[in-house]
Amino acid sequence: MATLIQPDLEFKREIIGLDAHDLSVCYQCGTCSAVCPISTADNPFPRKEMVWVQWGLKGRALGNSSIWMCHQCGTCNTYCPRDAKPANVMAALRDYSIAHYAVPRFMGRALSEPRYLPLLFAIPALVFLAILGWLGNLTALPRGQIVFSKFMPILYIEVAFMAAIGLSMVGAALGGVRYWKAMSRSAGVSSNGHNPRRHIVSTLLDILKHRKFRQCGEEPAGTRKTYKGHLHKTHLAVFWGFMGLVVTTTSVGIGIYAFGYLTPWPFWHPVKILGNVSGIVVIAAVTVFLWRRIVDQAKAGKSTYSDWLFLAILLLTTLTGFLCQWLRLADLRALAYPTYFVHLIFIFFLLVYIPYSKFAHIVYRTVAMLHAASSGARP
Amino acid sequence: MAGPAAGATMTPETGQQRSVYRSILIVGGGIAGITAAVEAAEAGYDVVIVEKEPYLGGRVVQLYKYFPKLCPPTCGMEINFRRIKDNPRVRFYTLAEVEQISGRPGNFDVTVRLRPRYVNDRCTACNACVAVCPAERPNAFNFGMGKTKAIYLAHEMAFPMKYAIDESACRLTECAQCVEVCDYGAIDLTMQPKTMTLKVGAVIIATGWKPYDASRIDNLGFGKHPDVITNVMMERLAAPNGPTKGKILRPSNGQEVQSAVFIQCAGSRDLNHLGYCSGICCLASLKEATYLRERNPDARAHIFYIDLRTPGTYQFFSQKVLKDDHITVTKGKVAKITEDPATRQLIVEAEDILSAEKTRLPVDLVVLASGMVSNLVDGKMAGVVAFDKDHFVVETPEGEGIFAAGCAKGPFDVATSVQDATAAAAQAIETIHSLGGGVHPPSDASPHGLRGQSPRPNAAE
Repeated sequence: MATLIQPDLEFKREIIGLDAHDLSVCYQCGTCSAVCPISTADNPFPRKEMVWVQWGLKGRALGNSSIWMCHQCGTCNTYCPRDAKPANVMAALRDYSIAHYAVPRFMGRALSEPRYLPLLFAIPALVFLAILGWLGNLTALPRGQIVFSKFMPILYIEVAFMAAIGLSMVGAALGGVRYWKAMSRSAGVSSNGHNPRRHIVSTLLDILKHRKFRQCGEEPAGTRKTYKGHLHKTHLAVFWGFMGLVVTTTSVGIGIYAFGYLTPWPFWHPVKILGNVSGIVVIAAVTVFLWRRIVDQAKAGKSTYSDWLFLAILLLTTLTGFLCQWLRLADLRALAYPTYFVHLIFIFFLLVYIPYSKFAHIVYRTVAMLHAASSGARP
Repeated sequence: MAGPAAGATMTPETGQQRSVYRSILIVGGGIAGITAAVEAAEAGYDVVIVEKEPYLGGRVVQLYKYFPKLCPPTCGMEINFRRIKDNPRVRFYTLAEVEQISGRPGNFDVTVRLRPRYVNDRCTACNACVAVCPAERPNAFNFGMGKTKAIYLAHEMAFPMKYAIDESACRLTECAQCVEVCDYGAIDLTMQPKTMTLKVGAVIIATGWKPYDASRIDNLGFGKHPDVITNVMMERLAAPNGPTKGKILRPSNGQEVQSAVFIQCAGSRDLNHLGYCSGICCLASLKEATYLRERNPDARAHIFYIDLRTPGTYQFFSQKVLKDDHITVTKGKVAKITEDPATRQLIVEAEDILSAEKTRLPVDLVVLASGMVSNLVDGKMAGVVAFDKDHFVVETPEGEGIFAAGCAKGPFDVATSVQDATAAAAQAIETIHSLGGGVHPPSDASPHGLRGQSPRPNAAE
């Protein structure tokens, strides 16, 4: 069957622009695929991704589970005989694909271009300002002991967030489906990810246990250290730290609605302890990520806008949360309430924009792992 | 014929005659150095070869067969050694290294350091000394495979056919058992290092190459798995005068090799190791695959390559070898080697690029096509000649009168080295000749070849 190859050179230029400047020097030896600890026999990567991008084969490069199966251990960069930095190309493809599959498409662009940043902050700010204006809390802060729900009642927050996150979940689902279809299209009908339901549990368990991350460090090809050796532990920390915060928030919600147990809860309360510990873990892990992105620049290249944005938002969300707690305890009303307002904006940014920011990896990587598992491309 | 009378030039400062020596120093006694030496000597110029090993012949004599005609090295080398022996204009020093070169074209001062051989010219290679010698050393000629005694003959066809003592392995006069059994008084354990000076008119650097240190390729298991060897070791395994007398056996257990994988670009074309293509390794592996097939009709050879580079008419050799259905190739670089704990076989991993699948191939022997490194890589000859970033000699105007030949200039095959050496000999002669030190027609000038005659005698004829 003859195939008409239609190179999309603009795509290649954009990938190069996402800090994959050296991809053109790749001479297709396959060292990267052979040293990769997690690429499989029937779907090795990242050698083929390199040539797909070189040739501008956008459909193939984006419609493949490999780009998300890669967990960025950096072994390929370490052993590449041409210093073509295949890991940077894989990261760039992931970055690009989030915007590419985004529904609505504009949101993908908004999260990958700095000029839309004010708009992205303005949306939650206006929503919360409107609520505060409606409640009359814009002109005067609540009196007496600081209780954040006096300033912004929980119910209003819940309604606003549920609506926004509901919309974004629809976007995430549509993006995931588009990616799934693209993968099935390039894999051909025969291996069209059949019966994915059978693999949902095992895939989720892999994610919870960070099995892939662990594999990245197992059975190394040689003795050289990669700059991403810390990734397994750091990601495990940020993942479970974040899960701790999710559990905390959910428990607080259940406490309020099911038992009328109003906030603020005392410090000794197990849920409160979980929240504080989780928050510290997230801050520590994100700090490591940021630090390594700075010190590894010579080897790993400069990080992209979406790398920095995601880490910054995650860090600022957690930091403002702690700040609210301290200011409340210090009884500084004039600072505590505005900080809480800012904290809410960061939470909104972090959660509502999930399908479009780098956070979208929870959607796309899960979809990719499920597709790979159900089409037999699993170790 | 118009032009300045330059037979003996005048220095402006002193107004004295400046001598032009018509002898040529050749640094390195491998195929390039020997070729340059005999070519210049047969053209009437005195040559001095300075070789650091105890024998001449360099890398070629370590091969089992060599291109382009796939002869054993005895073939071409015996002719060359005969030409050296028959020609009084050729002098050579083994166990010798150039320490310093100064001066100008036509008039170089060379300091040579001679290491003691501890064996003099009375040696008849009777081997009585080896029988009694109690000390051993790794066999350097066989790249560390096997051992020799501390007193040894480097190899069976060594030229000069004289034993030598490795002083790092020998207790010298404290032992002296060899001295007692030598009927010819050929062993002198009190020999001391010497320094000598030479006056020459031109210099040819033919220092050659060495194999890249494969243990630095940490993912290919050399030095970790005994059955991972290099291409030069494969030459020694196949050679009848090698450590296994020509049998291709697994170093780990001595069993006959049934399957071998050749890994191309092991260190070459790799920015982590050698940035350049060593040029000879693809043909070397194809050739070595035939060694295995000659020895064992059931054996299989498999070559993993990035690009199978067989330039020019070598293409036909490649086609001929690949007609053998027991010699197969895969496009893809092996980047991981592990050992199967059950079978003790090596498992090589590569992506087969044409099918986009990862292969894991179990084999008995892995041969790394390790690349060629300049012998000047440690900075020798710095200040005498200019280098490129890989320490291959780049000829520049400042290096006038000093030429390079063969693998000192880059990774070459034997045929290219020989041609290059002939060219270098011609350049050296031309330098001396143009300064008035030519030998045609014969002159009655000073003993070291100084001529005071017409600068261009040929033109005058």
